[in-house]
Amino acid sequence: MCDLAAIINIIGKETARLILGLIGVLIVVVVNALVLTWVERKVSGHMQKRIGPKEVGPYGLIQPFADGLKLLGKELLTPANVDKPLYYLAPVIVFIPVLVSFIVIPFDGFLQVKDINVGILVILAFSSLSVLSILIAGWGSNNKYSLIGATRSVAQNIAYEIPLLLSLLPVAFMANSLSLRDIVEVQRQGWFVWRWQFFAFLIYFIAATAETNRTPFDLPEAESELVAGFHTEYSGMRFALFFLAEYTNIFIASAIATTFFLGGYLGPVLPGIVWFFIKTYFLVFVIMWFRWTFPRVRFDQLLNFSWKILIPVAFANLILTGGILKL
Amino acid sequence: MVREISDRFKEKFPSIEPKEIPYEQRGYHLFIEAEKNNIVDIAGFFRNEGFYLADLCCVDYVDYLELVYFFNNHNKLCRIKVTVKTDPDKPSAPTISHIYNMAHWYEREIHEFFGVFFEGHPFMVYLFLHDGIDHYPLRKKNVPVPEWDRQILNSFRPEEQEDGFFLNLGPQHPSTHGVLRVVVKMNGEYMLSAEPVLGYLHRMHEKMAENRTYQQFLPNAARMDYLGALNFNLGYVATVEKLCGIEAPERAQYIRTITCELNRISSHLLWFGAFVADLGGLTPFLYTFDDRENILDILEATAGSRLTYSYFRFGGLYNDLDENFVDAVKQFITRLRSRFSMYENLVTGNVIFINRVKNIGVMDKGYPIRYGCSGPVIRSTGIPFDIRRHEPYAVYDRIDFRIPTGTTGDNMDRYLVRIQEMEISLDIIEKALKDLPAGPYKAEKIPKKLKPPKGDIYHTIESPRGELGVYIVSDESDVPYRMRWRVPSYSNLMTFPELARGSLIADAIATLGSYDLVIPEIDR
Amino acid sequence: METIIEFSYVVVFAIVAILFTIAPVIISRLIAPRTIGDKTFTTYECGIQPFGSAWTRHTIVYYTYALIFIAFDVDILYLFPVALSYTKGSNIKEFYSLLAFVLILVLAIIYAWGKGVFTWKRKNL
Repeated sequence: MCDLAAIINIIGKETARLILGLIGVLIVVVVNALVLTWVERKVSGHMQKRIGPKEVGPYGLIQPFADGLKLLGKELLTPANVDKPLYYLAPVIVFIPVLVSFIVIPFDGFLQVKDINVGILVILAFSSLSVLSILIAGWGSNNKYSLIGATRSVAQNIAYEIPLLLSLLPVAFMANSLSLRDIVEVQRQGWFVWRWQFFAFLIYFIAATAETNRTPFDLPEAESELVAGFHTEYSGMRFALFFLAEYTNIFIASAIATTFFLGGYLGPVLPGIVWFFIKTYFLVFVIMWFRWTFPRVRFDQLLNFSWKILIPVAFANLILTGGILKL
Repeated sequence: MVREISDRFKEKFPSIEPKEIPYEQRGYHLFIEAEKNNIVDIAGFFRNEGFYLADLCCVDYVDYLELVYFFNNHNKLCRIKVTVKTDPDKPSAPTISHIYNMAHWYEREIHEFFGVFFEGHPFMVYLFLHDGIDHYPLRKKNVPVPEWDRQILNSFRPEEQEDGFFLNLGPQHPSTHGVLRVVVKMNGEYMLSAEPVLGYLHRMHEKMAENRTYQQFLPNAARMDYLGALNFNLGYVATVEKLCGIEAPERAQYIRTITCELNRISSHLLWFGAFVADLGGLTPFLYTFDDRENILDILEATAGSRLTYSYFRFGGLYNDLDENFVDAVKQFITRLRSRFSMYENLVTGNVIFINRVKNIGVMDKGYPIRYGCSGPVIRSTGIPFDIRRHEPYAVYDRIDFRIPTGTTGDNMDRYLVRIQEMEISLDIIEKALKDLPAGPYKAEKIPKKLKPPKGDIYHTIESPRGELGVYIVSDESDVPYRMRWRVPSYSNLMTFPELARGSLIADAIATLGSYDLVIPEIDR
Repeated sequence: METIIEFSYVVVFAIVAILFTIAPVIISRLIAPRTIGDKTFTTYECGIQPFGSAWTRHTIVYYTYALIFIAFDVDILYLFPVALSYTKGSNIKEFYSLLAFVLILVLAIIYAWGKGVFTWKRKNL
């Protein structure tokens, strides 16, 4: 009986934690998407000698709400000859990897939904699911541009998943743990980006940009070649969901980089959560900076860059880390 | 040069006498009257002599149809007109598309507009009029299209081919800058074949010209090439002036040069932004628009419009320069000069950009002769062919300027040539401004109703995209009997199927962007 | 027990993610207008009547990349457990085994490289 009571107690605690975590994460997702749409428009505007949105609210701050409402009121077109189950499924599953990744991200020392001891693996396992939804979207649309965009997306994903794994691996070697909070705590002695892992950080950042389909690796939606790529046939709210998932993915990619290499929530004076968001949004800004600066790479250059440069360097880095740890 | 060719021609074809024509009046040096049975040999002769086919058109004289071939040489000016007469009831001629690839499209065009059947042509389908026609539009009499011809014209149907993955680039596609449609057969990421489909913006300017007086046609010229409107305007005006023997005053000629060069820069700037946007870099587009805006403001104050200028008149200009013009242009020159280094840092030196354009879409020196491409496209292959130098018009003969050339003829060269051309245009403007004379801007006593003497004329100018040729046949009325526009983008685009075949789709898009196509100009 | 709780987090989050995406679509369904027109529901084909199906034989040009990827992905996942116990002992042997493991993987890249998997040529047709 005592066990049962303990179990009920645990379940009660965990349920409360779960619900609170869920609400918190959903707020972060929505607010992040609103902020990033505004920031992207403002950043792109200023980089292109424009001002960006300024009419709706002060500094155009209400613009994302206006955009969201507009998309909500748009007609949901379903083209006649799509594969209906797949077409409807794609925008639904696009959010699963995004949301699940939030479970393990430590926003602050105690602000984490749940510290799973194989945290990295959870994120990596689910992040490869996002390519599935793109493939489904491309195939289900019965549109040639979508199909090419989707196959490109798969190629890109399989090319950049390995450098991604290989760049996170040395950090796990050094931290001796797969839990994200442990990895942050280890960095109290110094951020990993300065402790031998600078190249791993670079590789991770490049691979993460590719995994989130951002310029210069935005081949799945290369507009000058494939109109809009895999989401050509999606309109209204379904398009908005892909959009939302993309922005949240950028956030997660930057958050992981912060956690693994930039000391996560660690920092002087300010509370941890503030440091976490400062670092993360700085990386998000850098990704946006890429987009408005670089042209797009070509498909074969993309694949070969990963296999010829990133992966060998990542391997060398891994061996080096292994050697240093044994010294 | 002319005498030499004439002699060698007589040696080869003793039965035909090439007539020497006063170039100053007609715009060509030699006139050869060929027959159906020897036109292929004549074309072969000129191909061996290194001539390219500048234009191929048809004129309906009611009693007979006349095919007009214009040959020219890239190295030394020598324009030759060759005509072949054919029967109007059953018009036909042998094809020369196996000798000059460029004749391929020109013959298709003549076929659908005049009904001339080219024997041996491999692909005689619609080029512009895909919706079908019931009579040949450019014939003087109403000639209905016979059923057998309609079937030939309609035979291009990619949708009925079972095998293969066909992709449509256009007409509503972000990278075609207008309404070009390219039907692409794909194999994964590779292009197996690319077939441009034209005519989505076809307005039949050539037919319109036959129904308007010379003055009434003036605004039409600007509508063909909306980016190089002044150059097209000048091309038309200069041709008619030459035909009627009108001389524009010195000041007008200088102003024409200056404004045309400004127009060239604005066109190149837009191309620059659009080309990088094609490669995925969206930011330069807005930077170049910022620069271009200055030119538009300057020209607006002078010419009255911002895009489709109709500033030049027969014998001069619409009005004199705005009083701020000279200062504004000088200011703009300093501004743009300071911007080039920024573009160089941002775009030209970018590794991703270099990898995307270097050694992509390589044209060897055979392309210009086979396809008759011109402008920056030919200069990128290393041939310094520029009409401004080749047969100067306005005041280009008095201004010394360099002709930038490439070496390999790839997309990078086409890019660099255009960038250098902008810098050189600035130099030309500066020199012309220094020499700008005072005086009248308009010739006096220009008749209200122009009635040019009987005869034909071929006049070319260098538009931002290349050689623009205007061929006018006059029958002494106030309406042109036939007006033919040889547009540069058209012959540049013809090289695309060959360059795209077997390349990656991304490379083909980059190549398409490097041509600087203006679709309304191609479609006319 | 701990594992079950961790799994339940993942499951609940996944379910919420699905609901989170379905809800706005339903709201949009309710408030968005509907058009009736015979061309509204055609597939986008750059402004012309669509022809052919996208569901045809499609060459996957990066097929060999996919094959190497599968081998690599599985092998590299083996290294994650290694990360946990690598520094536990101070035996230099572990470094050699890591080295051997990685070198064998690198051989695969060198092999593919030599085989010309990573060179894309322009096709001569």
